[in-house]
Amino acid sequence: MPSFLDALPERSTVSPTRRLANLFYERFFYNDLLSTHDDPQLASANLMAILAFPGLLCLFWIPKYYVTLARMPEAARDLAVFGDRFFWLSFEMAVLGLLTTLQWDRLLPDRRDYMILGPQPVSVRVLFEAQVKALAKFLGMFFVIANAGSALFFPIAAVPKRAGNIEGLLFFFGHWVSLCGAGLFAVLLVIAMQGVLTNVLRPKLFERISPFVQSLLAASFLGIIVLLPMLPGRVLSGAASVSLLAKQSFAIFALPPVWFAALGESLAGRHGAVFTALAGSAVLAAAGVTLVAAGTYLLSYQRFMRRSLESAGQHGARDSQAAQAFRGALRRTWLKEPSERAAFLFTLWTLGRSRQHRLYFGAFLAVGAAIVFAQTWSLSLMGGPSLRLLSQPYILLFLALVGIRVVFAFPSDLPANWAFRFHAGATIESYLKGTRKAVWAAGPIPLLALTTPGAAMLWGFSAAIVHGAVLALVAWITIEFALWGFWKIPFTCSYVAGRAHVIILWTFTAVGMLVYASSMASLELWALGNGWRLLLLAAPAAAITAVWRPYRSLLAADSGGPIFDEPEDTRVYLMNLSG
Amino acid sequence: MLEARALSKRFGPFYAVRELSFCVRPGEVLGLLGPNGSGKSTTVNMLTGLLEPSEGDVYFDGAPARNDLTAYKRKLGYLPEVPHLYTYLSGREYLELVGCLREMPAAATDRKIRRLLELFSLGPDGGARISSYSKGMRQKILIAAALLDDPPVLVFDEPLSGLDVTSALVFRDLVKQLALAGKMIVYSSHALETVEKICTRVIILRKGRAVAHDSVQALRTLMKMPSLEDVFTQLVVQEDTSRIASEIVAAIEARA
Repeated sequence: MPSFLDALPERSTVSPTRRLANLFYERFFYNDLLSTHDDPQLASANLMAILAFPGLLCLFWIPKYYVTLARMPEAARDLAVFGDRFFWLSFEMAVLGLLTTLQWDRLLPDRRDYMILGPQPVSVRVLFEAQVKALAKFLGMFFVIANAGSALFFPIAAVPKRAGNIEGLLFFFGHWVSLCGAGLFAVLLVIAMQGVLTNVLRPKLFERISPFVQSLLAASFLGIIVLLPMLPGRVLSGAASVSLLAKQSFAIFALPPVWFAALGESLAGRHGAVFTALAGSAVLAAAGVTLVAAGTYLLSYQRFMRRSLESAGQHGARDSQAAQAFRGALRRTWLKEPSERAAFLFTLWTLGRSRQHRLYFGAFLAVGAAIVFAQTWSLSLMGGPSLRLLSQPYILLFLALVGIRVVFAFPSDLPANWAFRFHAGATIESYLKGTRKAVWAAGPIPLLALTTPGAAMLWGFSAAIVHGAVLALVAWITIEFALWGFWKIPFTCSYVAGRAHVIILWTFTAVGMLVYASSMASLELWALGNGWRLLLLAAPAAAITAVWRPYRSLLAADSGGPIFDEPEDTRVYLMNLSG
Repeated sequence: MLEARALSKRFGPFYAVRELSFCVRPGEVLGLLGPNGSGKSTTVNMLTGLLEPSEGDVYFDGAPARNDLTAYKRKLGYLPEVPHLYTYLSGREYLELVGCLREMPAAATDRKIRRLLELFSLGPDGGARISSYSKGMRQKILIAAALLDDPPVLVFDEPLSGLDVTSALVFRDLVKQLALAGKMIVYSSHALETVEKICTRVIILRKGRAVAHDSVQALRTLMKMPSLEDVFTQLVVQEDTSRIASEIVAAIEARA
């Protein structure tokens, strides 16, 4: 009697391309940037919910918006529709650009791919096809999610009342084409950039530059997302936009979402020289970036697989004499104890080189930079110091310190922490000394170097001293708060999944930032009023330091640190399921 | 002197190591042998203070190591079986980090690191990220890290893994010379031939228990076997290896 197994085909019916495409697709979610723990599905679901949120807001916004639009005069209404189109396209482009950037290292095969797939009887064509399919599926899914609200609800609300059926359909068609074009443009722009860099640069140089390009791109896209809610009202609505469009200003012509918004308008039947020119730019840009991306990506693919092994054998750079002298000077002056030097170097090396940590920290800085840009781009620097202007360094300081503190909790190569478990013999206090100095080097010191000369140029030397002193004092207090109870060496302790609730974290960060920046700026404004007031701040600070330092050392000694294992939450949540 | 007294490690009801006792005197190389799952790594982890014994203790110069684990670790150099390293650091930076953690004087450590990198043929690659290193290069960095502070006790867990023939021979001679210099060395490995050549005494583990503990010569004489491999096979290998190999060949040749 024939068995069930006999009925099975001799070979698997799933083609290698499909199997590999599935593998590459799943791997996109197993990205340490998307999921910080072993639950990529959960992390991806969170990300999808965040991306879908703006689109779903339409549901609540549309009735009121519809009524408001209907009451507007036609010209103002068209302009408002254009502004909204700009918003949705910018959002979509920034989201897809960001996602493609986060997958930067997965766009081309890496050394591991070469080692695993290279010996298998699979041609490069099959690998390439699978990679493209996987990327298309991944980005396609996020394209749908990011545009879920706007693709349907925006045209319903924005289609002109006067429009007939054909015009109405054209409006929908124009919007969808512009969405597809803009999304494709953003994705292919990132791919083209990587393709050009891979082909132009030597492998070693590409390896060195690549993480910084990725960080910069990710920070830019994230900054755009943060800036977006503030932009349409200022840039593209009202008289300012009319004048910018009429003058064919560079500010308008340089923005890719404007090209695609104009393409949507043109396809919907709104003609005019400016729209036609902008729509032409959209078509040209999309075609150009597609050609460059396709050409360079194809060229890169096979070359990169070969290069990934060749580059492994190349030597690294030696420290320059200047770098050696600088490090020697640091050792003699600022970092005398070996244990603090260990914590300092390890913290800065990890912040600068670990892709995950650099990008998370960069996200906080990008948000800060975007907020500062939005707050100051129309602000006059002339005249005396104002509360709004003075709050900007504190916004950056706050976000930089919160960012550093958040990434400290994420372990880096956790199994490698045996080096600390085994070799680290000093007290936690001495490692914390190094950690605090690393925090100063990563946040407050560059900020002071940036803003103090600016203050000197704008308001004079004495004002710059007061600014620098108050900023340093505030930074010191904030760092002490941030590292309160942190009895660990950064990046070496295990991480309990779900411990950092992203939405709560960002909500508290946003509220904290507003209160912090305005109150600290008020303090600085008060100190700037009279130089002697600085002494009034310095005296209690010195007194507190005298008491605080020994107390902090006592606490550290009692902590039993350095801690390498985060205790699990042992509480049991019954959820009334017992019946 | 390094001692393990009735060392046991229990994971739930399961004993990974049971009542293991031995000592290593200055100038001795103690080999730890055993099949996978015999308790070698657990023993090494307890010796290095990475794992707390369930019963018994590790003693160094007569005092329990856990009384002052930090001071004990300062006397210890350790080469782990799995080369977990911070791969975004360069080899030189990693050694510098280890030097700082062990609170070694900076200038002398720098000189030592340069010299060790040269001697391990890593001089030109010292500045490259560990992520670009081969397995052998990573292993050399770990060996250099274990020796950097010149500790009196050395624990090597599969030290030859990934090393080329020349480096392996250099390492074998290095272990002999370290022993002559009075170091206490624990050498855990599957490479029976190497263990036979360099170890003063061996412990053969099976299912967490020591089934033999003596010098290689004494074991050979006692068991009337010509080599350590034969002694090991006699004591530990309970399966018919030839039969299993034949069955594997049959399985891969099966058509339908």
